[in-house]
Amino acid sequence: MMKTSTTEAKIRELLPWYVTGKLSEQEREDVKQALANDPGLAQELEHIRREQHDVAAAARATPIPSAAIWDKLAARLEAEATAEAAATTITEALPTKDAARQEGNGLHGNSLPGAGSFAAVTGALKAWLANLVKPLGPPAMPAYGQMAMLATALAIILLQAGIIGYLWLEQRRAEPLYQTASGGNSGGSDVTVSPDQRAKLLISFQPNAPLNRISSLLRHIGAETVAGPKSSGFYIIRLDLPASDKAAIERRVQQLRSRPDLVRFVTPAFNPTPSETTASPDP
Amino acid sequence: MSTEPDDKTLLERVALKNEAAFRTLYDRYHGRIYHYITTIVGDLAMAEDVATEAFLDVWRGAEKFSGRSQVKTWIFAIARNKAISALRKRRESPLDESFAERLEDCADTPEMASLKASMAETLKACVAHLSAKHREIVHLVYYQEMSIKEVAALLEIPENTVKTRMFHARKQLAALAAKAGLDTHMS
Repeated sequence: MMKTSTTEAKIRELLPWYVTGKLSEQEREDVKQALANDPGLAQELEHIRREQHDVAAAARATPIPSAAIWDKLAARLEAEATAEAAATTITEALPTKDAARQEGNGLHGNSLPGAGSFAAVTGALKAWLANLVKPLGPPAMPAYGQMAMLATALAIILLQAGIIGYLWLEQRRAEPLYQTASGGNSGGSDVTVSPDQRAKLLISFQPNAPLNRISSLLRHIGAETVAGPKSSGFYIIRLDLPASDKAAIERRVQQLRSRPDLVRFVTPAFNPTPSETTASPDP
Repeated sequence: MSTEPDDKTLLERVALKNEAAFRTLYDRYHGRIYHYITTIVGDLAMAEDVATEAFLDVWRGAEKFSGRSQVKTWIFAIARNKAISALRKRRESPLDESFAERLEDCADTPEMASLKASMAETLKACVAHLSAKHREIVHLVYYQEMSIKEVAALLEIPENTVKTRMFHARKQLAALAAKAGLDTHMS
């Protein structure tokens, strides 16, 4: 049988954890017994108790800049979300369907941007570049260095915007404007289901949910708003899925429900008649 | 009746990019993490930046959490790594060798008398002048109230080393405290 008693030296080593109540039952018993038989040990324990109290009190007394840390954190997260959205938008905007398939990169080539998307692309590029420049900001380089970087960034933005604009106009000339609602990385199908045959959801958002986060989420799951807000705050959103694919729709609903910070309520909506914007129920 | 979700549940939600869960986890740990980082880097402004970086890593890396350790230990380990690499980037300020002498020199002055009245303040100064390893373990055991197992997992050292390191840290602390005029049972 294993010996459970602990030597005096070992007992002394355990005293700090005896004070904080973090010993195993056996160790606690060993310490208790030793304390009962050794007044010197009990005195040391009392000292450790005071020491622990004072050290903890001193640490607690250091003010915590909670808001400052959170603000920095929120700003960084926001920047990352913007960059992510920018990447998605750029991914959706750049290649044609054929080019994407040739490259085998799985991009949704039929998500041809409309005029609004074009503005979004240039905005997204700016955000993306700003994000690239940001880490090299104040601590890393002097003001003239930043100016040079920004000038370069702006030049790139204009160049990229020009290229995208040219591609967009070329595409517009080549084929009729048809925009799917397929999202970048939602795993959504890019089947050419007509808008009326696509699944719709009834959704409401948290009152203080930032608009850009909502847009990012909808883009992420491959949805677009088709009606709302109703007087009760509900929207109808359309997915890039056929209304008949119940399992896939349920997965999207679960995705949305996993974001209670943004989504207050969501449920599949009955596919209404073509005049969806007026015929949708207003719960 | 609603109960607060445990750390693991929160981290699973964070992995799904749930901001509310992240905020809860932040509220739960940021104070202790900030104090821990402060103990390592010894600079409040730097600690603020390191804490931000640490929580960003929690947000980004939540999906990689394997569950082999406690969530708490995992977060503390991220903070520790961030703090250590931040320290490496900055030239470490030389140890204040004159601290002990100053304590001796001022032992009989009115300032020292007032310090004696404030044991906590004196003890705080003593802790600040422990070696980095000893300062860290005293903080983890006394303030964070971590068990031997938790400290061993965080510092990646055997449990016996945790015990002996804490014992020696207390001896070093007692020596500094004795010089500062505090009574001690370890010197």
